[in-house]
Amino acid sequence: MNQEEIKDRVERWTRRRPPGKIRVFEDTSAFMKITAGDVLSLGGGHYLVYGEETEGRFGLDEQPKFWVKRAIDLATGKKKVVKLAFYESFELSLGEQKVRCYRSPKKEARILEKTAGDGRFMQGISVADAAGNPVRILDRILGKSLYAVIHAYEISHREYFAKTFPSLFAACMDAVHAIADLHAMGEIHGDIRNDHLLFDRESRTWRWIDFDYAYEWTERPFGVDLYGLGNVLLFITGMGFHVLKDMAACLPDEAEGSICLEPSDFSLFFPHRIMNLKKLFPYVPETLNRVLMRFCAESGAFYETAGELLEDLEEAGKEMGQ
Amino acid sequence: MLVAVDNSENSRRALRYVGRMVKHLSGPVTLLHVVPSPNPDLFADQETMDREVKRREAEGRQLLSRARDILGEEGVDPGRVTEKLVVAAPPLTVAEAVLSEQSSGGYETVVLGRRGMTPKEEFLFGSVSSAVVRRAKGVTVWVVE
Repeated sequence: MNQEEIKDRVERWTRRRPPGKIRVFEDTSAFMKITAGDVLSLGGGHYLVYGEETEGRFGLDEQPKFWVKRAIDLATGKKKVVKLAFYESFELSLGEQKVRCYRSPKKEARILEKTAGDGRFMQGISVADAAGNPVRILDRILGKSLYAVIHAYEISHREYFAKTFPSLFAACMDAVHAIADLHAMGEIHGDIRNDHLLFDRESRTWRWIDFDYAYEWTERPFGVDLYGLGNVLLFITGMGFHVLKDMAACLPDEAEGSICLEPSDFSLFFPHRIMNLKKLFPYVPETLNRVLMRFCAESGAFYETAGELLEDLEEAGKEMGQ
Repeated sequence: MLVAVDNSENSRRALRYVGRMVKHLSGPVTLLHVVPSPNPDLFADQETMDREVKRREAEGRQLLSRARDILGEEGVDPGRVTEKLVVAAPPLTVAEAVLSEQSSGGYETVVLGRRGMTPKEEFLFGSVSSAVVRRAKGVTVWVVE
């Protein structure tokens, strides 16, 4: 596509013709130099960059991810997320535990291929740019994260648990099933969090996103994912996390009388985070609470596979009439 | 007897224990070091990964040589000792590699040191000695703390 053709396409999808020459990048190595208004020429397609994705974590302000561009596919006008190759290694905090983590574009590219057409995962393709960098071109998901969905509720836990939780629990089961299937393919998600599970408004499905975190292979290669699944389950069951400090100030209305929290009631990884939700919300079914307790400091019988977790969740589902 | 060794203090302690126990007995002792192959996803290219595998193998050979010395210091005849280096590539774990070696070599006893992981570490990374104890069948396992 020449400059005029690119400009025609840009005008078609943005209703504004760029006045000057458009920079077209075939080699995306210097991704910091690629900014809004530039076009990426990748795998025979052209993508107009209009910004960068941002990410906030643990109370930090949203930070731009310069290697993740928001773009428009100039062939179709569809919005895309273009992840350029960026290699980094850092210490990831999983609660109080540090883990060496590596960003791996090729891992994400491989998972995209293996999960193509599976509505439980983000969709996209991976192409090599002119310098051989693996670039992932992803369909933009329109919808909120699990984190945002649950934080938006302004109802009591009792009401949430009776009316909303059953459908979220079913979604959670599907999401755990998706991860179990991923593990069966020999892959791990690597960064399971409440904001990496998005409700796609178009397909009406929950989709896992962001698979580029990789780790050294260990005796329990799926341990990191199980850690994440435990957090997701706690979050949806509790309608958020509950920590000791909050309890000291004010017990939830649903708690019956005074409660006595013991060391065995807390998370293995977050010593102030309460796992034994039955003490706060007595109507949480025993079978479900037992699953949460497997992520406690004094459990001693951790889940080894997502399949084991799923089995126990199915049991809990039955008790809840699902 | 198959003695799985790594670079931990407990592994050296296990070696000294084995040395004291078997020096008056007969029979071969095989020292095994399993090199966990690095995850290929952590490397931008194959060349860098191959270099890392070679580095780990060289380190493993040194470790085995040192393990043989420790048995010698405890009075075990060096003629009874053989060394074996195995690379475990994903999805094979270290414990699976140890048990595979035990099975193919027909060893009656497997010895390992126990690192003493915290529950958090055990949750995330798993323990080789726990996995060997849990999965071993028809074999005696010694775990030395």
